[in-house]
Amino acid sequence: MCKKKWILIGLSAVLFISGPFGLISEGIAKKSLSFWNMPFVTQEVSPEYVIQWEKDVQTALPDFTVDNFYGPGKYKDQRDKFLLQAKSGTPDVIEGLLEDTAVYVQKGLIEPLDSYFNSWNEKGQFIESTLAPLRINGKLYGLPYNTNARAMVYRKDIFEKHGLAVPKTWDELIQTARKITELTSKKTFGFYVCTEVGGPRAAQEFISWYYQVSRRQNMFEVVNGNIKFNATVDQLEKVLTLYDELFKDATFPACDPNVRGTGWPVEDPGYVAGKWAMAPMGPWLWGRRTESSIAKDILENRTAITRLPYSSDGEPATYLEVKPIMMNAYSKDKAGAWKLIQYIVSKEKMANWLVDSGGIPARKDSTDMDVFEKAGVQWWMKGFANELPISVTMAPVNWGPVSEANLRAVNFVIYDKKTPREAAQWLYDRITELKKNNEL
Amino acid sequence: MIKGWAIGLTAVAHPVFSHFNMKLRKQQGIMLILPAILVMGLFTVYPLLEGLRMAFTNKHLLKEGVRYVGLQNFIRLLSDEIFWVSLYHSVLLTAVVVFLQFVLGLILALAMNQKLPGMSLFKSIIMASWVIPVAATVILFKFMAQPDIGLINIVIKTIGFENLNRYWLGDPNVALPFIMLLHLWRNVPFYGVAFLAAMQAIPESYYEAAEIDGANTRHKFWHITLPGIRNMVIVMVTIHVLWTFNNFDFVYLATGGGPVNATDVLPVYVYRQCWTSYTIGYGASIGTVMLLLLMIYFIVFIKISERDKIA
Repeated sequence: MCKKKWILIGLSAVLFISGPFGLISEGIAKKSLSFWNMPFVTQEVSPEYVIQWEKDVQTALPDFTVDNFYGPGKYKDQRDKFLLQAKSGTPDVIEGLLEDTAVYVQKGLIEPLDSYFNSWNEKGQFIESTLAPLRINGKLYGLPYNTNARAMVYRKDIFEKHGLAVPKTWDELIQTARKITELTSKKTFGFYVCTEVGGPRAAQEFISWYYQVSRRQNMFEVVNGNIKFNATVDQLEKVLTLYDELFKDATFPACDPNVRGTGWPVEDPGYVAGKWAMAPMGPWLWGRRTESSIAKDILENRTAITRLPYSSDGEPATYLEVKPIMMNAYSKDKAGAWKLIQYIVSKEKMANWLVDSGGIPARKDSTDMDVFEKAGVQWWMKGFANELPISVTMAPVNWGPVSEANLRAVNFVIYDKKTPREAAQWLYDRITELKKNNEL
Repeated sequence: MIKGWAIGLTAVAHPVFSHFNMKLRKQQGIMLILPAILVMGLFTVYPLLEGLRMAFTNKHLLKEGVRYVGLQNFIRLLSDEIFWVSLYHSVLLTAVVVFLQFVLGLILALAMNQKLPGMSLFKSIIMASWVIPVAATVILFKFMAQPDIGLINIVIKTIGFENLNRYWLGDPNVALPFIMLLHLWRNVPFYGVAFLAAMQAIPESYYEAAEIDGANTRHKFWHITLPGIRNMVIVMVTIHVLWTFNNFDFVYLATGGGPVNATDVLPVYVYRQCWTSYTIGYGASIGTVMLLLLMIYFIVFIKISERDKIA
């Protein structure tokens, strides 16, 4: 009896302490928000920055608890899981690729932000060209936190040492890359290009080359919900011929044949480890300078940025990336989700994030902040910003099967299973079939 | 005392009472298996029927509105080049892997059946490959296959074949055999231990009698050991045909079906249809074909096994 009495007293004390003043009251008072954000998982942003961000968000949104699980850490997995579970209301806010936005809109999973955005007094700070790709069927489906155009990073020390000219055309790229492979006895291959089937970066690099031969015309056009396929077999053949030449079984090939079929997890670490002298790239690579002293030296002292080499019978063009922050249409607290979005894309947060990871802010006032200059990252940002005028955004279609087909055709060519012409015809037929089956 | 009373009651039971008792027992039986039936119905039968139903629709994860398209998905399969390549690889992978697992597992079991020092420790160690998660196994082998720094290439270079240094999973001619190697590495010890257990259940007197009759080692193996482990062989082969044909993780994690289509198998192709193209209906039709193929296999296999048993 006495024992029971003491247990009851103990339980009452615990409830008293944790009730009004403790954990329970905090849990009841604070609302919970979730945010899926791949760069926080993959160390595209440094772990130190993520810790600081978590501290700051507690101060900025005192009424909310933001979950520190930032999603699966791969865009494809994140997309698949969001498609399945968005209706549960989690996550409230999601970061992603522009290609994801089109998919989520088709499925009705993300909330149009027009009413929130139009009543925000900071809306004028956003650069219009970064908002435009996020407007689908006249509605704004996300706010951009980062934009970039693909350029080419190259090892200026290697070029200077061997007196090489920076390539401007595809032919020059192939010849120069082969030369570097030879001069370094394959310790550093001249070039790297992603060829992974299903890899987002490989798809983006392919489309950059395509925009060049199509003279910046999009592969698809969406007019009143109807999709028009613009590519021709000849255009596709030109792009595939480039891949063929890059991996051609020469004594000193432009690209390492051992990395055929690989993607960004090989491209980025490979460049900062000195394995390739040139690579198509975006500003995120800057985030890798903390990986090692070699990476820091290569990025800060030995790298320069230039335009992607282009097809002689095309024109300079590149892929425009806009990274959106989107709101789950099924979020149980849309007002809270909007506050979180405002915080993520606020002037200081956007600037600090991109100083850490490299990137071009989507806000004018963020760009003007002196943090970029202090961090010595301005030259880096400028290198990519220079390419914005020639960059092309992707049409809002379901790119998954198209990108897979593009890279399958690339793999046919680089593994000598088909000629560029045969692969181009296969690719053209495949995309036509996808369109016919209403799968885009 | 109660027990005795109950026995007595049963012994003198009236036919009506006995009928009631049987009915009660039947109901009890039904109640006992009901939870299992409900769970199976919910998690096996319903998804199976739903999958079969979807195979006849144009269901697309991103599109609204689903309609029945009859056999259209199956007709599309006939001209789908990647489907046929994947089917060929699935059948080849299953046949080669299950056969080699059987042979190597048998050799391993025979070796482990010898009374040698340290054998019990060896038996424990070899099961490690079965205990290690598939993802870890694949990462391990992918790392070993890396050019320059991978163990395989270091060994190859050390013995003077520097020109063979390559990423082995990136070579279209090697990738599928490499996947087979992963299956073998994981499953052969399991076969070995299972066959060993079956071998140890064979009475020693059979071998002694055979020796008296002048049987040599080969005779004893063919006429005592092999028939003695027959039931275990049937179980292991049946399970592994199913597992290997349906295996997704080894291929998906190691190569994703590449390079080109060198390791494409049906489960990975189904996944890509559903989660890259979002064509759930078409993916379900491929799953239905897999189901039919496995059912045909099992019917034939079970019939042959039963016929052999009777013979």
